[in-house]
Amino acid sequence: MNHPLLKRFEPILKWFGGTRINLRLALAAVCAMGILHICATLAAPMLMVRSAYDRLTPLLPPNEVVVFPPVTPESQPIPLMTPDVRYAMCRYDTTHAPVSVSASLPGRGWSLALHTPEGDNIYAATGVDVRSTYLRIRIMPANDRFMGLTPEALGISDTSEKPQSLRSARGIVVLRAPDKGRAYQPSTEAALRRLRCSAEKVR
Amino acid sequence: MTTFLQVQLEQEARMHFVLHRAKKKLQAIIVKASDWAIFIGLVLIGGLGSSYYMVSAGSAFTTRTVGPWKAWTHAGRNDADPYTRAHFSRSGTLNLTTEIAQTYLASRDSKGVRLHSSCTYQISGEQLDARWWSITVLDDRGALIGNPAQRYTFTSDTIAVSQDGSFTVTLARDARPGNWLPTAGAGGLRVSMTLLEPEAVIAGDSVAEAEGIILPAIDQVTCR
Repeated sequence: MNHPLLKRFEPILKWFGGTRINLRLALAAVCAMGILHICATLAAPMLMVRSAYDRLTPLLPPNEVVVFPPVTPESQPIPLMTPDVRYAMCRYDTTHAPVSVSASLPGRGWSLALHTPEGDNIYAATGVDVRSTYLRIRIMPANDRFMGLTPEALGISDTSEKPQSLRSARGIVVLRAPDKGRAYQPSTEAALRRLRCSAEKVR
Repeated sequence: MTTFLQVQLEQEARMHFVLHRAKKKLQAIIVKASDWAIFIGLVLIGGLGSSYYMVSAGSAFTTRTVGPWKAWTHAGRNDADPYTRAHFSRSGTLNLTTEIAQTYLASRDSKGVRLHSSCTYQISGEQLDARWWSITVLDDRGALIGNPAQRYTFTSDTIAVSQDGSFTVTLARDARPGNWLPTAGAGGLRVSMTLLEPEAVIAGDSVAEAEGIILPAIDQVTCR
């Protein structure tokens, strides 16, 4: 106890010496803390009752396109939905039939994204400067259910370019258009209205 | 007489012994109960508290901090870690995947002081290394701040840029010349900056991405 540092901390060491620490219980506490930490983190997305999907569901009829007006404080359905972009959305549901989505991205800043109810992007594409990008997507149910005969099986020759296929049960298609100012609003809105999202007819 | 006294003393001693044992037993129960109370308290505070912190504030593993700006590195991605998933479920936002867009948020200025609507700030930067970008001012709950001028955001298409490519956005309660975003009555502020397809992300070079990002500074001008 000659070291000056030890002398300085003598009262604290004495206090610790007098305190009865159950080592087994302390170790168990650390383990339980870790387990609770993992459980709470993993369960958090399931316990959140107001995810973006939940908030937008009342505003979006299934498999129909809704072009949102410019975002203002009065019409901001979800937090951090900013007015730097205009939005067209479609809540897809492949319970009864596959859903066809088509959109064109006329230029820089445009993007099309498919969000799952958990908020993950299962598909995302952006527009480029030089040309308009045309996208066709077929969203299939997540399970391997029979969804009717293919055009080839029905004897119909289908020469059109095959759409990109994705598997997802539910989610939201979001077409984002950059805000270029008031002068561009009509053309931006017209381009947003060209988003198509509908359930296919099963034959 | 002696026998009577002896019996009485014996009875008293036995009574004392019983009381002593009961006291000891009670003490042991209290110690055990306090051990368990401390155990449960520690587990709850440590387990839930650390989870809450990691989900709401993030860590070096889940976020990238550039000056006052912070972004979740795996937002909107299929391979996102559980903390990122929980964070965005809790915030109720719909983010583009970080493979094509990065959203940075700042709730403090470049000196680390909380942003507040009673102060005036200047966000100044150079040409940003992205195909398209935007800067939006929000209150601390992520809601837009209502104002008669209906100014909430500037994008790379709508912002007034000086000849050398630099820009300055002023956050203030009262009207200012240039790129002004009103903040009156908001209280705490948050500034959101979205970079669509930052060049480093396209290149896929994580080192270059970390080193090459230059984001605007947020400087306090005055406070009332």
